Amino acid sequence: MSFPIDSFWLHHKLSTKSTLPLFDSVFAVAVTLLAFSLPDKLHRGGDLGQLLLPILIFEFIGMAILLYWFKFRRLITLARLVTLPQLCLIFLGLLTIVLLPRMAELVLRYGGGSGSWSNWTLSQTVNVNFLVALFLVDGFTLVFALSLRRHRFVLKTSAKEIGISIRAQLAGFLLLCVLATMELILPWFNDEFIIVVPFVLLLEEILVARQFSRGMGARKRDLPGTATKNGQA
Amino acid sequence: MSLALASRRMSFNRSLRHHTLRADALLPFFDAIFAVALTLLAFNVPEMLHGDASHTHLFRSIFAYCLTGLIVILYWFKLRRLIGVSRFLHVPQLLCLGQAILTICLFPKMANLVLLYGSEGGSIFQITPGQLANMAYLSALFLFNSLCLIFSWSLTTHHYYKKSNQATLRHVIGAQLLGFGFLLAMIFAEFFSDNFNNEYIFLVPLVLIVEELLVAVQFSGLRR
Repeated sequence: MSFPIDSFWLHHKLSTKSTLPLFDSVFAVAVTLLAFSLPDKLHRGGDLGQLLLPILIFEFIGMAILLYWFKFRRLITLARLVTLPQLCLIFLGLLTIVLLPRMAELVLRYGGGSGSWSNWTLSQTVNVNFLVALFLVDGFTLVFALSLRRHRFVLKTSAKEIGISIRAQLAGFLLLCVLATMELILPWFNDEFIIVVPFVLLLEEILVARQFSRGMGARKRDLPGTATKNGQA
Repeated sequence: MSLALASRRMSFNRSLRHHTLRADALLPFFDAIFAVALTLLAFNVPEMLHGDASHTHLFRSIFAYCLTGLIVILYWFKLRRLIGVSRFLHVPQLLCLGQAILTICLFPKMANLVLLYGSEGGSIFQITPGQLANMAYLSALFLFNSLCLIFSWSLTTHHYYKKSNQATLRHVIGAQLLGFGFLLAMIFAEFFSDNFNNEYIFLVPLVLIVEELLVAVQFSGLRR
């Protein structure tokens, strides 16, 4: 007797509509809690920098989280129906995202000191932990995107879009690898990655947009005003 | 228009379309951010009370929470209405909203700092913790207001915006400009006057309520 594997997995499938509310809420809580990495107390006689610098760092990390939200959300929407392994990837991504506010607080407090692989300091530990968390979110997003290539429920028209997203994400992942290596090897490269990471993610999005505008050509999309009578955009 | 320019514009539009989001796809995230920010505001009420002055301290912090909460709710209403009418959001609008979301996330922490130090005097020439907290909070309010205004302006050139709503949008922008002017005046007073410290906490909700009333009055006049 064969085991009805399809019906078994079917029980663990979720539609995008059911997944997204939790996904959105977790990201919303993570972004809002990120602001709690700002200092609780202000010092007398201190300059503007004591509040301005943490706000700037909050802006950079917040931007990175919002970009991850946009990127991951787009992939979930393309999936239409999420299978159990994909659900696991989403949950792992959410668990990692929730870690980021606390990691950011630690980076803000201790990340400024120098350190490297040979000279392991507290700031090095904190910075590496934050980078690992980012690495994991990026990795889970990439694996999720790769899983969509053989996903039965993806529309045929979305296949090229997924391919472009994967290529851009791979480029971003490689840049993150370079950042991680720099953090491990170079003693002068410490919490500077906070400024670089949002730009890497923005670059990814620009890359996706460029490739999409070049490669996709005319394509019928579900947006009003994009399709004409003969189906050409 | 030359053919090259037209084709470049077309490809630009196509690349933008890939980053277009339906307004109703963003709204759950937007609502959740405001919900969390509002909940976290209540954490500014002290968890421990000491001595005789505890009543005043507790009352002051609850009062400040109510006023800041009112600001957050009014901002939520204002921006949500604009997102609701836009139907589709392009990259510049998404960037605008992203920054607005980040700014609203700052509010609970800023309110906490204002509650702790806000009553201290100071000006831009004499930076004290109180002055710093007040400047940061007012700048966040100003930034959010500006982003709302830019967002409404962007809607006037929006393809997916219904033409029938143009008059309403003009009224909304007019009311927002008025609120923007008031906020600018408060920023000047906070930055350059020694006597004006955290009094804006009472004024800002009033300005926002007046804005909404103005929109309502103009809208009802339009309907009639």
